[in-house]
Amino acid sequence: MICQNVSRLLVAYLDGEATAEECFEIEAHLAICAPCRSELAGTIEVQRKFRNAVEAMAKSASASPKAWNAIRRAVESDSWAGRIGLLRPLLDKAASRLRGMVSGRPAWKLGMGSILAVAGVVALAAAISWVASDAPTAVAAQIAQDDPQVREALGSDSQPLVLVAEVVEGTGNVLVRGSTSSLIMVMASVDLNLRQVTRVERLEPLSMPQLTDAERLQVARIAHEAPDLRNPAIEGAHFGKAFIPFAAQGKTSIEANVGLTPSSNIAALEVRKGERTWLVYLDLDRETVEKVLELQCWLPPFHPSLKPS
Amino acid sequence: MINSHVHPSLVQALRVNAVNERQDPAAFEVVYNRHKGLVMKTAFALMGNIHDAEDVLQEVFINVYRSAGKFAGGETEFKAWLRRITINKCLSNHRHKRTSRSFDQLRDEGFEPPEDESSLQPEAKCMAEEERQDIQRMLQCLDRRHYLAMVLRYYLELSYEEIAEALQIPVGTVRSRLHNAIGILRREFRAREETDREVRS
Repeated sequence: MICQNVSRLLVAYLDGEATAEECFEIEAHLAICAPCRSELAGTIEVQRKFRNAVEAMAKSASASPKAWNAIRRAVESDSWAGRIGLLRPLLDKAASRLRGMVSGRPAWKLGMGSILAVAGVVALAAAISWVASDAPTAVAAQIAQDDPQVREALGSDSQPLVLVAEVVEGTGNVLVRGSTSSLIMVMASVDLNLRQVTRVERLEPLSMPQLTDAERLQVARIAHEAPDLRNPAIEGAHFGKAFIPFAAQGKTSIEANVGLTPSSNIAALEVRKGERTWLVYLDLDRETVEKVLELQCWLPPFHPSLKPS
Repeated sequence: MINSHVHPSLVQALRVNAVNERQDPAAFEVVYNRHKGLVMKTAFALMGNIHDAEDVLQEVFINVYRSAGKFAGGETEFKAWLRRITINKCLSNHRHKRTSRSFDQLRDEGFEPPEDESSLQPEAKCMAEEERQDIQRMLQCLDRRHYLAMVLRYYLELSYEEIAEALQIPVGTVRSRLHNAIGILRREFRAREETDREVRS
Protein backbone atom coordinates (compact mmCIF):
# COMPACT_ATOMS: atom_id res chain seq x y z
CA MET A 1 0.00 0.00 0.00
CA ILE A 2 1.36 3.43 -0.85
CA CYS A 3 1.53 6.33 1.63
CA GLN A 4 -1.24 8.29 -0.09
CA ASN A 5 -3.71 5.42 0.30
CA VAL A 6 -2.75 4.90 3.93
CA SER A 7 -3.18 8.58 4.66
CA ARG A 8 -6.71 8.47 3.21
CA LEU A 9 -7.64 5.61 5.56
CA LEU A 10 -5.95 6.72 8.78
CA VAL A 11 -8.94 8.55 10.25
CA ALA A 12 -11.29 5.61 9.67
CA TYR A 13 -8.61 3.28 11.03
CA LEU A 14 -8.30 5.28 14.27
CA ASP A 15 -12.07 5.50 14.58
CA GLY A 16 -12.39 1.71 14.35
CA GLU A 17 -14.32 2.09 11.09
CA ALA A 18 -11.83 0.55 8.64
CA THR A 19 -12.44 -2.96 7.33
CA ALA A 20 -10.32 -5.88 8.58
CA GLU A 21 -8.51 -5.98 5.26
CA GLU A 22 -7.75 -2.24 5.38
CA CYS A 23 -6.51 -2.55 8.99
CA PHE A 24 -4.15 -5.35 7.98
CA GLU A 25 -2.67 -3.33 5.13
CA ILE A 26 -2.38 -0.12 7.17
CA GLU A 27 -0.60 -1.86 10.02
CA ALA A 28 1.79 -3.58 7.65
CA HIS A 29 2.59 -0.21 6.06
CA LEU A 30 2.96 1.66 9.37
CA ALA A 31 5.52 -0.88 10.53
CA ILE A 32 7.88 0.18 7.75
CA CYS A 33 6.98 3.86 7.17
CA ALA A 34 8.07 6.52 9.66
CA PRO A 35 6.33 9.51 7.89
CA CYS A 36 2.98 7.66 8.04
CA ARG A 37 3.53 6.87 11.73
CA SER A 38 4.12 10.56 12.26
CA GLU A 39 0.93 11.38 10.36
CA LEU A 40 -0.94 8.89 12.55
CA ALA A 41 0.31 10.67 15.67
CA GLY A 42 -0.68 14.03 14.17
CA THR A 43 -4.19 12.78 13.41
CA ILE A 44 -4.62 11.50 16.97
CA GLU A 45 -3.51 14.90 18.25
CA VAL A 46 -6.03 16.77 16.08
CA GLN A 47 -8.86 14.48 17.19
CA ARG A 48 -7.89 15.00 20.83
CA LYS A 49 -7.69 18.78 20.48
CA PHE A 50 -11.04 18.96 18.73
CA ARG A 51 -12.73 16.77 21.34
CA ASN A 52 -11.26 18.78 24.24
CA ALA A 53 -12.20 22.08 22.66
CA VAL A 54 -15.82 21.11 22.05
CA GLU A 55 -16.09 19.61 25.53
CA ALA A 56 -14.76 22.81 27.07
CA MET A 57 -17.15 24.88 24.99
CA ALA A 58 -20.18 22.69 25.76
CA LYS A 59 -19.39 22.78 29.47
CA SER A 60 -19.96 26.51 29.40
CA ALA A 61 -23.56 26.07 28.21
CA SER A 62 -26.36 26.14 30.70
CA ALA A 63 -29.99 27.01 30.27
CA SER A 64 -31.30 30.37 31.42
CA PRO A 65 -34.44 30.59 33.60
CA LYS A 66 -36.21 32.07 30.57
CA ALA A 67 -36.00 28.69 28.82
CA TRP A 68 -37.83 26.88 31.62
CA ASN A 69 -40.48 29.60 31.81
CA ALA A 70 -41.22 29.20 28.10
CA ILE A 71 -41.39 25.40 28.40
CA ARG A 72 -43.62 25.60 31.47
CA ARG A 73 -46.02 27.95 29.74
CA ALA A 74 -46.18 25.68 26.70
CA VAL A 75 -46.88 22.51 28.67
CA GLU A 76 -49.33 24.22 31.01
CA SER A 77 -51.32 25.19 27.98
CA ASP A 78 -51.55 21.50 27.09
CA SER A 79 -53.29 20.70 30.33
CA TRP A 80 -56.22 23.00 30.88
CA ALA A 81 -56.67 24.70 27.58
CA GLY A 82 -55.92 21.74 25.36
CA ARG A 83 -59.27 20.36 26.32
CA ILE A 84 -61.01 23.55 25.39
CA GLY A 85 -59.26 23.44 22.05
CA LEU A 86 -60.80 20.04 21.42
CA LEU A 87 -64.24 21.55 21.80
CA ARG A 88 -63.71 24.08 19.04
CA PRO A 89 -65.70 22.15 16.40
CA LEU A 90 -68.62 22.08 18.80
CA LEU A 91 -68.29 25.79 19.47
CA ASP A 92 -68.43 26.46 15.77
CA LYS A 93 -71.57 24.41 15.42
CA ALA A 94 -73.02 26.05 18.51
CA ALA A 95 -72.25 29.47 17.08
CA SER A 96 -74.08 28.72 13.86
CA ARG A 97 -77.05 27.26 15.72
CA LEU A 98 -77.20 30.24 18.04
CA ARG A 99 -77.74 32.50 15.10
CA GLY A 100 -81.26 31.17 14.93
CA MET A 101 -81.81 30.89 18.67
CA VAL A 102 -81.22 34.40 19.90
CA SER A 103 -84.13 36.58 18.89
CA GLY A 104 -83.88 40.27 18.08
CA ARG A 105 -80.10 40.28 17.89
CA PRO A 106 -78.16 39.14 14.85
CA ALA A 107 -75.45 36.62 15.54
CA TRP A 108 -72.70 38.84 14.22
CA LYS A 109 -73.40 41.21 17.08
CA LEU A 110 -73.23 38.52 19.73
CA GLY A 111 -69.49 38.54 20.11
CA MET A 112 -67.36 35.63 21.06
CA GLY A 113 -68.01 35.98 24.79
CA SER A 114 -71.74 35.84 24.41
CA ILE A 115 -71.57 32.87 22.09
CA LEU A 116 -69.40 30.95 24.49
CA ALA A 117 -71.57 32.03 27.40
CA VAL A 118 -74.67 30.64 25.75
CA ALA A 119 -72.81 27.51 24.66
CA GLY A 120 -71.73 27.07 28.27
CA VAL A 121 -75.30 27.46 29.48
CA VAL A 122 -76.49 24.93 26.90
CA ALA A 123 -73.88 22.48 28.15
CA LEU A 124 -74.67 23.07 31.80
CA ALA A 125 -78.39 22.89 31.24
CA ALA A 126 -77.93 19.66 29.35
CA ALA A 127 -75.75 18.23 32.08
CA ILE A 128 -78.22 19.06 34.81
CA SER A 129 -81.35 18.13 32.98
CA TRP A 130 -80.53 14.73 31.58
CA VAL A 131 -79.18 13.23 34.77
CA ALA A 132 -82.52 12.45 36.36
CA SER A 133 -85.19 13.29 33.87
CA ASP A 134 -86.73 12.25 30.62
CA ALA A 135 -86.05 15.70 29.16
CA PRO A 136 -85.34 15.66 25.40
CA THR A 137 -81.64 16.31 25.98
CA ALA A 138 -81.42 13.32 28.35
CA VAL A 139 -83.25 11.11 25.87
CA ALA A 140 -80.98 12.24 23.02
CA ALA A 141 -77.89 11.66 25.19
CA GLN A 142 -79.05 8.18 26.17
CA ILE A 143 -79.86 7.19 22.55
CA ALA A 144 -76.46 8.43 21.33
CA GLN A 145 -74.64 6.67 24.14
CA ASP A 146 -76.31 3.33 23.41
CA ASP A 147 -75.91 3.54 19.65
CA PRO A 148 -73.65 0.89 18.08
CA GLN A 149 -72.46 3.29 15.33
CA VAL A 150 -71.29 5.74 17.96
CA ARG A 151 -69.46 3.00 19.85
CA GLU A 152 -67.85 1.81 16.65
CA ALA A 153 -66.69 5.33 15.75
CA LEU A 154 -65.07 5.72 19.17
CA GLY A 155 -63.31 2.35 19.09
CA SER A 156 -64.60 -0.99 20.32
CA ASP A 157 -62.89 -0.96 23.72
CA SER A 158 -64.15 2.51 24.60
CA GLN A 159 -67.23 3.39 26.60
CA PRO A 160 -69.07 6.44 25.26
CA LEU A 161 -69.23 9.42 27.62
CA VAL A 162 -71.67 12.16 26.72
CA LEU A 163 -70.16 15.62 27.02
CA VAL A 164 -72.79 17.98 25.71
CA ALA A 165 -76.27 17.58 24.28
CA GLU A 166 -78.69 20.05 22.79
CA VAL A 167 -82.05 19.64 21.12
CA VAL A 168 -83.14 21.84 18.23
CA GLU A 169 -86.42 21.26 16.40
CA GLY A 170 -86.77 17.61 17.29
CA THR A 171 -83.12 16.75 16.54
CA GLY A 172 -80.60 16.10 19.27
CA ASN A 173 -76.95 16.95 18.74
CA VAL A 174 -74.83 15.00 21.14
CA LEU A 175 -71.08 15.28 21.56
CA VAL A 176 -69.60 12.04 22.83
CA ARG A 177 -66.05 11.09 23.72
CA GLY A 178 -64.57 7.69 24.44
CA SER A 179 -63.67 6.55 27.93
CA THR A 180 -60.13 5.60 26.90
CA SER A 181 -59.16 8.71 24.99
CA SER A 182 -60.31 12.29 25.06
CA LEU A 183 -58.73 12.83 21.67
CA ILE A 184 -61.50 11.13 19.71
CA MET A 185 -64.95 12.63 19.74
CA VAL A 186 -68.13 11.93 17.86
CA MET A 187 -71.02 14.23 17.08
CA ALA A 188 -74.23 12.20 16.83
CA SER A 189 -77.50 13.53 15.40
CA VAL A 190 -80.51 11.95 17.06
CA ASP A 191 -84.02 11.97 15.59
CA LEU A 192 -86.19 12.16 18.70
CA ASN A 193 -89.35 11.11 16.87
CA LEU A 194 -87.75 7.95 15.49
CA ARG A 195 -85.64 7.63 18.66
CA GLN A 196 -82.57 6.71 16.67
CA VAL A 197 -79.23 8.10 15.57
CA THR A 198 -79.43 9.39 12.03
CA ARG A 199 -75.85 10.60 11.53
CA VAL A 200 -72.51 9.99 13.17
CA GLU A 201 -69.62 12.36 12.51
CA ARG A 202 -66.22 11.62 13.92
CA LEU A 203 -64.48 14.85 14.91
CA GLU A 204 -60.77 14.92 14.45
CA PRO A 205 -59.63 18.06 16.14
CA LEU A 206 -56.05 16.90 16.05
CA SER A 207 -56.06 17.08 12.26
CA MET A 208 -56.72 20.80 12.45
CA PRO A 209 -53.72 22.91 11.42
CA GLN A 210 -51.39 23.29 14.36
CA LEU A 211 -48.83 25.92 15.22
CA THR A 212 -45.27 24.65 15.23
CA ASP A 213 -43.42 24.60 18.55
CA ALA A 214 -41.33 27.53 17.33
CA GLU A 215 -44.49 29.52 16.56
CA ARG A 216 -45.92 28.67 20.00
CA LEU A 217 -42.77 30.00 21.57
CA GLN A 218 -43.02 33.09 19.40
CA VAL A 219 -46.61 33.61 20.57
CA ALA A 220 -45.55 33.29 24.19
CA ARG A 221 -42.72 35.76 23.66
CA ILE A 222 -44.91 38.35 21.91
CA ALA A 223 -47.59 38.05 24.57
CA HIS A 224 -45.02 38.29 27.32
CA GLU A 225 -43.66 41.54 25.94
CA ALA A 226 -46.94 43.08 24.79
CA PRO A 227 -47.93 46.32 26.52
CA ASP A 228 -51.62 45.41 25.95
CA LEU A 229 -51.23 42.55 28.42
CA ARG A 230 -49.56 44.65 31.09
CA ASN A 231 -52.71 46.19 32.47
CA PRO A 232 -53.38 45.29 36.11
CA ALA A 233 -56.36 43.08 35.26
CA ILE A 234 -54.33 40.70 33.07
CA GLU A 235 -50.84 41.04 34.48
CA GLY A 236 -49.59 37.81 35.97
CA ALA A 237 -52.18 35.71 34.15
CA HIS A 238 -51.35 32.20 32.97
CA PHE A 239 -50.87 31.68 29.28
CA GLY A 240 -52.88 28.79 27.94
CA LYS A 241 -53.06 27.09 24.59
CA ALA A 242 -51.84 28.88 21.49
CA PHE A 243 -53.61 27.87 18.31
CA ILE A 244 -54.48 28.89 14.77
CA PRO A 245 -57.89 30.52 14.95
CA PHE A 246 -60.51 29.86 12.34
CA ALA A 247 -59.93 33.40 11.14
CA ALA A 248 -56.50 32.34 9.91
CA GLN A 249 -57.90 29.41 7.97
CA GLY A 250 -60.10 31.43 5.67
CA LYS A 251 -63.26 29.93 7.14
CA THR A 252 -66.43 31.64 8.20
CA SER A 253 -65.41 32.25 11.72
CA ILE A 254 -66.73 33.22 15.05
CA GLU A 255 -63.67 35.41 15.34
CA ALA A 256 -64.83 37.40 12.31
CA ASN A 257 -67.85 38.38 14.38
CA VAL A 258 -65.68 40.47 16.62
CA GLY A 259 -64.02 42.39 13.83
CA LEU A 260 -60.85 40.43 13.35
CA THR A 261 -59.54 40.62 9.81
CA PRO A 262 -58.93 37.16 8.37
CA SER A 263 -55.24 36.63 7.85
CA SER A 264 -52.92 33.71 7.48
CA ASN A 265 -50.52 35.00 10.09
CA ILE A 266 -52.85 35.31 13.05
CA ALA A 267 -52.42 33.10 16.09
CA ALA A 268 -54.63 33.03 19.16
CA LEU A 269 -53.64 32.56 22.76
CA GLU A 270 -55.88 31.72 25.68
CA VAL A 271 -55.04 33.64 28.82
CA ARG A 272 -56.52 32.92 32.24
CA LYS A 273 -56.34 34.67 35.58
CA GLY A 274 -58.50 33.45 38.43
CA GLU A 275 -62.00 33.06 37.07
CA ARG A 276 -61.41 35.35 34.11
CA THR A 277 -60.37 34.22 30.65
CA TRP A 278 -59.26 36.18 27.61
CA LEU A 279 -58.54 35.31 24.02
CA VAL A 280 -55.58 37.22 22.65
CA TYR A 281 -55.07 37.42 18.90
CA LEU A 282 -51.53 38.07 17.68
CA ASP A 283 -50.04 38.88 14.31
CA LEU A 284 -46.95 36.69 13.98
CA ASP A 285 -45.46 38.74 11.13
CA ARG A 286 -45.78 42.09 12.80
CA GLU A 287 -45.23 40.57 16.24
CA THR A 288 -48.10 42.56 17.69
CA VAL A 289 -51.22 41.89 19.73
CA GLU A 290 -54.19 42.57 17.46
CA LYS A 291 -57.09 42.06 19.81
CA VAL A 292 -57.81 41.05 23.38
CA LEU A 293 -61.26 39.64 24.15
CA GLU A 294 -62.48 38.79 27.58
CA LEU A 295 -64.75 35.77 27.63
CA GLN A 296 -67.83 36.12 29.79
CA CYS A 297 -68.10 32.47 30.61
CA TRP A 298 -66.25 29.31 29.89
CA LEU A 299 -67.40 25.80 29.19
CA PRO A 300 -67.45 23.48 32.17
CA PRO A 301 -64.51 21.07 32.31
CA PHE A 302 -64.99 17.54 31.08
CA HIS A 303 -66.09 15.31 33.88
CA PRO A 304 -67.34 11.74 33.95
CA SER A 305 -70.18 12.84 36.23
CA LEU A 306 -71.81 14.28 33.13
CA LYS A 307 -72.44 10.71 32.07
CA PRO A 308 -76.15 10.00 32.33
CA SER A 309 -76.94 7.50 35.05
CA MET B 1 -40.38 -1.60 32.63
CA ILE B 2 -39.07 1.45 34.49
CA ASN B 3 -36.08 0.78 36.69
CA SER B 4 -35.73 2.34 40.10
CA HIS B 5 -33.20 4.94 38.96
CA VAL B 6 -35.58 6.62 36.61
CA HIS B 7 -37.58 9.18 38.43
CA PRO B 8 -40.62 6.86 38.24
CA SER B 9 -43.02 9.56 39.31
CA LEU B 10 -41.92 11.60 36.41
CA VAL B 11 -42.25 9.07 33.66
CA GLN B 12 -45.52 7.94 35.14
CA ALA B 13 -46.75 11.50 35.38
CA LEU B 14 -45.71 12.21 31.84
CA ARG B 15 -47.35 9.04 30.60
CA VAL B 16 -50.56 9.87 32.35
CA ASN B 17 -50.48 13.31 30.87
CA ALA B 18 -49.95 11.87 27.44
CA VAL B 19 -53.50 10.62 27.49
CA ASN B 20 -54.58 14.07 28.57
CA GLU B 21 -56.19 12.96 31.80
CA ARG B 22 -54.15 14.76 34.38
CA GLN B 23 -50.58 15.88 34.89
CA ASP B 24 -47.90 16.57 37.41
CA PRO B 25 -45.89 19.65 36.44
CA ALA B 26 -43.62 19.20 39.45
CA ALA B 27 -42.46 15.81 38.17
CA PHE B 28 -41.79 17.29 34.76
CA GLU B 29 -39.68 20.00 36.36
CA VAL B 30 -37.62 17.30 38.07
CA VAL B 31 -36.94 15.65 34.71
CA TYR B 32 -36.10 18.98 33.17
CA ASN B 33 -33.65 19.91 35.90
CA ARG B 34 -32.04 16.51 35.80
CA HIS B 35 -31.51 16.38 32.04
CA LYS B 36 -31.36 19.98 30.81
CA GLY B 37 -27.55 19.90 31.03
CA LEU B 38 -27.29 16.98 28.64
CA VAL B 39 -29.64 18.59 26.12
CA MET B 40 -28.07 22.03 26.43
CA LYS B 41 -24.50 20.78 25.98
CA THR B 42 -25.44 18.68 22.97
CA ALA B 43 -27.41 21.53 21.42
CA PHE B 44 -24.71 24.10 22.11
CA ALA B 45 -22.04 21.91 20.53
CA LEU B 46 -24.14 21.42 17.41
CA MET B 47 -25.73 24.87 17.08
CA GLY B 48 -22.72 26.96 18.09
CA ASN B 49 -24.54 29.62 20.10
CA ILE B 50 -26.65 29.87 23.24
CA HIS B 51 -29.66 31.42 21.54
CA ASP B 52 -30.20 28.59 19.04
CA ALA B 53 -29.26 25.98 21.65
CA GLU B 54 -32.00 27.29 23.98
CA ASP B 55 -34.53 27.17 21.15
CA VAL B 56 -33.64 23.50 20.68
CA LEU B 57 -33.79 22.89 24.45
CA GLN B 58 -37.32 24.27 24.60
CA GLU B 59 -38.52 22.34 21.58
CA VAL B 60 -36.98 19.11 22.88
CA PHE B 61 -38.58 19.30 26.33
CA ILE B 62 -41.97 20.28 24.93
CA ASN B 63 -41.63 17.26 22.65
CA VAL B 64 -40.62 15.07 25.62
CA TYR B 65 -43.66 16.21 27.56
CA ARG B 66 -45.99 15.43 24.70
CA SER B 67 -44.40 12.14 23.65
CA ALA B 68 -43.65 10.71 27.07
CA GLY B 69 -46.46 8.21 26.66
CA LYS B 70 -44.53 6.56 23.85
CA PHE B 71 -41.39 6.15 25.94
CA ALA B 72 -40.66 2.88 27.68
CA GLY B 73 -37.34 2.14 29.34
CA GLY B 74 -34.94 3.07 32.10
CA GLU B 75 -32.59 5.95 32.80
CA THR B 76 -30.07 4.89 30.15
CA GLU B 77 -32.70 4.54 27.46
CA PHE B 78 -34.25 7.83 28.50
CA LYS B 79 -30.93 9.64 28.11
CA ALA B 80 -30.27 7.98 24.76
CA TRP B 81 -33.76 8.95 23.59
CA LEU B 82 -33.26 12.51 24.78
CA ARG B 83 -29.90 12.78 23.06
CA ARG B 84 -31.29 11.37 19.83
CA ILE B 85 -34.18 13.81 19.65
CA THR B 86 -31.83 16.68 20.52
CA ILE B 87 -29.46 15.76 17.69
CA ASN B 88 -32.35 15.35 15.26
CA LYS B 89 -33.84 18.69 16.24
CA CYS B 90 -30.48 20.47 15.87
CA LEU B 91 -29.83 18.94 12.46
CA SER B 92 -33.36 19.67 11.34
CA ASN B 93 -32.96 23.31 12.40
CA HIS B 94 -29.69 23.48 10.47
CA ARG B 95 -31.33 21.86 7.46
CA HIS B 96 -34.22 24.28 7.48
CA LYS B 97 -31.93 27.16 8.37
CA ARG B 98 -33.87 27.75 11.57
CA THR B 99 -30.84 29.33 13.14
CA SER B 100 -30.67 32.86 14.39
CA ARG B 101 -27.72 33.70 12.18
CA SER B 102 -26.00 31.94 9.38
CA PHE B 103 -23.41 29.41 10.39
CA ASP B 104 -20.84 31.16 8.22
CA GLN B 105 -21.39 34.30 10.25
CA LEU B 106 -20.85 32.34 13.45
CA ARG B 107 -17.76 30.87 11.93
CA ASP B 108 -16.36 34.29 11.17
CA GLU B 109 -17.16 35.76 14.54
CA GLY B 110 -16.41 32.76 16.70
CA PHE B 111 -18.77 31.34 19.28
CA GLU B 112 -21.28 33.76 20.60
CA PRO B 113 -20.78 34.24 24.32
CA PRO B 114 -23.99 33.80 26.33
CA GLU B 115 -25.91 37.06 26.67
CA ASP B 116 -26.47 36.49 30.34
CA GLU B 117 -23.31 35.89 32.30
CA SER B 118 -25.28 34.15 35.04
CA SER B 119 -26.01 31.32 32.62
CA LEU B 120 -22.34 30.41 32.63
CA GLN B 121 -21.07 27.75 35.00
CA PRO B 122 -18.42 29.20 37.34
CA GLU B 123 -15.74 26.88 36.01
CA ALA B 124 -16.60 27.89 32.47
CA LYS B 125 -15.87 31.51 33.32
CA CYS B 126 -12.33 30.39 33.91
CA MET B 127 -12.15 28.53 30.60
CA ALA B 128 -8.59 28.90 29.45
CA GLU B 129 -8.21 31.55 26.83
CA GLU B 130 -6.18 29.09 24.84
CA GLU B 131 -9.10 26.66 24.69
CA ARG B 132 -11.42 29.41 23.59
CA GLN B 133 -9.02 30.34 20.85
CA ASP B 134 -8.83 26.70 19.78
CA ILE B 135 -12.59 26.57 19.42
CA GLN B 136 -12.71 29.74 17.40
CA ARG B 137 -9.86 28.57 15.23
CA MET B 138 -11.72 25.35 14.52
CA LEU B 139 -14.93 27.17 13.67
CA GLN B 140 -13.10 29.51 11.40
CA CYS B 141 -11.54 26.80 9.31
CA LEU B 142 -14.35 24.26 9.14
CA ASP B 143 -17.54 24.83 7.22
CA ARG B 144 -20.86 23.71 8.64
CA ARG B 145 -20.81 20.26 6.96
CA HIS B 146 -17.36 19.39 8.24
CA TYR B 147 -17.95 20.84 11.67
CA LEU B 148 -21.19 18.88 12.24
CA ALA B 149 -19.56 15.61 11.16
CA MET B 150 -16.67 16.26 13.55
CA VAL B 151 -18.94 17.06 16.51
CA LEU B 152 -21.13 14.02 15.86
CA ARG B 153 -18.07 11.79 15.75
CA TYR B 154 -15.64 13.18 18.33
CA TYR B 155 -17.94 14.84 20.85
CA LEU B 156 -21.11 12.78 20.59
CA GLU B 157 -19.23 9.62 19.59
CA LEU B 158 -21.66 8.44 16.95
CA SER B 159 -20.57 5.64 14.62
CA TYR B 160 -20.08 6.41 10.94
CA GLU B 161 -23.33 4.67 10.18
CA GLU B 162 -25.21 6.75 12.76
CA ILE B 163 -23.64 9.94 11.40
CA ALA B 164 -24.61 8.92 7.87
CA GLU B 165 -28.20 8.41 9.00
CA ALA B 166 -28.31 11.66 10.97
CA LEU B 167 -26.86 13.75 8.14
CA GLN B 168 -28.66 11.79 5.43
CA ILE B 169 -25.47 11.07 3.50
CA PRO B 170 -23.70 7.82 2.51
CA VAL B 171 -21.16 6.27 4.92
CA GLY B 172 -18.42 6.86 2.31
CA THR B 173 -19.15 10.59 2.45
CA VAL B 174 -18.85 10.51 6.25
CA ARG B 175 -15.42 8.94 5.85
CA SER B 176 -14.20 11.52 3.39
CA ARG B 177 -15.76 14.39 5.31
CA LEU B 178 -13.95 13.45 8.53
CA HIS B 179 -10.71 12.81 6.63
CA ASN B 180 -10.94 16.23 4.98
CA ALA B 181 -11.92 18.01 8.20
CA ILE B 182 -8.95 16.57 10.06
CA GLY B 183 -6.69 17.51 7.15
CA ILE B 184 -7.96 21.09 7.29
CA LEU B 185 -7.42 21.27 11.05
CA ARG B 186 -3.93 19.76 10.82
CA ARG B 187 -2.86 22.31 8.23
CA GLU B 188 -4.35 25.07 10.36
CA PHE B 189 -2.55 23.92 13.52
CA ARG B 190 0.70 23.55 11.65
CA ALA B 191 0.42 27.05 10.19
CA ARG B 192 -0.34 28.44 13.66
CA GLU B 193 2.63 26.69 15.16
CA GLU B 194 4.90 28.11 12.48
CA THR B 195 3.52 31.61 13.05
CA ASP B 196 4.03 31.28 16.80
CA ARG B 197 7.57 30.07 16.23
CA GLU B 198 8.33 33.02 13.99
CA VAL B 199 6.88 35.45 16.52
CA ARG B 200 8.99 33.96 19.30
CA SER B 201 12.17 34.03 17.25
